[in-house]
Amino acid sequence: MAHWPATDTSRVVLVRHSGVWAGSTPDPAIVLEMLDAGLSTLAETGDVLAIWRALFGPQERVLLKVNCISYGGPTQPAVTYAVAQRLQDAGLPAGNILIFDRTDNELAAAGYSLNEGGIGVQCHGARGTGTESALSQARARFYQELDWCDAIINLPTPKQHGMAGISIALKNHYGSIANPGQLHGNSCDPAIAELNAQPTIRGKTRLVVGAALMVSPTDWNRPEREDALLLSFDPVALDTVGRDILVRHRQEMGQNAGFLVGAAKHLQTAQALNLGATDTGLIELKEVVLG
Amino acid sequence: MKVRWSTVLAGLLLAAFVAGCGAQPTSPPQATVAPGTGNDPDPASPASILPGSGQVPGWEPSDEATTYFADNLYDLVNGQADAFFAYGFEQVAVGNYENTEGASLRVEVWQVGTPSDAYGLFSSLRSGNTVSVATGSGQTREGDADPGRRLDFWQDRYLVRLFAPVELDDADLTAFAMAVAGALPGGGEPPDLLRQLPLDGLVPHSDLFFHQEISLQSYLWLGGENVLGLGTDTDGIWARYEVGSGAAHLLLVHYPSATAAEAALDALQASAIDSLVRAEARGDLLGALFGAISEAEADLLLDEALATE
Repeated sequence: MAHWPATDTSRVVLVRHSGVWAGSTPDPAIVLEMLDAGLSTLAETGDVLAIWRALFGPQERVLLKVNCISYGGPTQPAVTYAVAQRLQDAGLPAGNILIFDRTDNELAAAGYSLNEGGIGVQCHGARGTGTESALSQARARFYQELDWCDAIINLPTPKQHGMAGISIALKNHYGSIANPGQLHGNSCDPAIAELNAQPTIRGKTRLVVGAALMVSPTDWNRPEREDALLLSFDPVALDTVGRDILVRHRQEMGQNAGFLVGAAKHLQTAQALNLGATDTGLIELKEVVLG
Repeated sequence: MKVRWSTVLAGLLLAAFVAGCGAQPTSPPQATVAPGTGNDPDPASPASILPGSGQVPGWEPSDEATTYFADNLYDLVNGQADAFFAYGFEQVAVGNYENTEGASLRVEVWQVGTPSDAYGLFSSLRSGNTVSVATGSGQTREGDADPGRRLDFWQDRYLVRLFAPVELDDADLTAFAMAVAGALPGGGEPPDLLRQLPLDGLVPHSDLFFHQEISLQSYLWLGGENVLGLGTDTDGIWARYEVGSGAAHLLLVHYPSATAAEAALDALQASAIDSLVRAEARGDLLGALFGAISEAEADLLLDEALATE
């Protein structure tokens, strides 16, 4: 993944469409339109499928890391399936695409269709552990699916987090390991950054798509409408922009937002580890409004 | 100089492949039991409270209920577990249900240490959209809801949460609430400290009851250093007031000793929080006003909040 400091600034694209919600479910066609516009803006080219083909080889195995731990506010399936659709449009076999989070139950409860070994896009929870990495606080035990894949698309949804301040792209990978409970000390710092610095994550992550059609600035089971997607090659920059969205929601609700900024120490740690940029001057935010 | 797209792609296509090396799946640590079957050895456990087959017309359990304890709560809520531990968490039972039309509903029954803890947990999760929950026999409880999607209420030392992923008729949520409430021990009084709150200007249902900093810090960020010396032996309230033309928050903490309250006052005043208007310790109580409120108005509120009989 190329991002700051390899580039002058890290680009984050924020795509909005006020008509994305059709009643209680997102309109798949509009979500696809938002995804295309966002990726096109991020990569500065209009040929969206060419971008997907450049990002992913035709036979690569791609893991879509969603976040379903929140029953009421998971990564919206419409966003994940739009990403899976474009991967297939770019020529990847559906069977090489795995929608993944830690358990089958959480995926199913979030609205994902479980599929393990059947025709089509695969979708299932962890089936065991694979490689391990030594972090400051504990050894991280990756689920074997993280080893299985060639590439990762990180698909978080912005949430506040009672210890880390925020849970977006970087924190999403606590669902990629079997022992997240050992990595929550000191506001999850430096564990979040160290985890994301491991080759299993850093070496495979090609794209981050933040599903912000809904965001959770307070209770995870009370998400708020945001009607947006976030796209970046830089998870730290995307998390910074996502945090600011959560801050705005909390301020609009008359609630203190200092915790979201103060407790999210892992953003600066991640920048120090060259995982991406969180300083405002290092982030180029481009907003696209489609409707 | 801005890096071009072609440069970005060249770096992207260098990703490495690491061969899979599968271990055996880990065994599920949770205890499971069919809701309402009486198979749970503890008749007052949250799992036994969950409605069983036929108890809510039109709805049936869709799987076995799962109970989480302190050692595996992370499996349910990941890093949010500490937020529940701060209210004396003991166990939670989770049951999923489906109706004949395929709609689903999830019921969570959280058992914590005391009714005050249940109230506190409820207060930490509420949206402010307060509803009255009928619990049978003409009784009602204070609840918090998103119509058709979510309903929370507390009773005795239990917090009950109902969630619908797709909007339902409120009657379905009410039917589940009544079934669960009817199986719970009755009653449960709010924390005594709430009686210290001045009523004039108090925004209804805005209070948070807490013991530890983790419960307060998303409302009042003091740098994450536990400046106030909060712990399991402290009771606190954070409540919103609308006084005059401004809005403010009252912090009230009951410490185990006057010495502890004085120490917290010193630490708070030394922390240089911009929004702090007034703070005072009186006996084992600490009070402080934050926000857009005059010093005179803050003094009046504090004087009433810190008054003792």
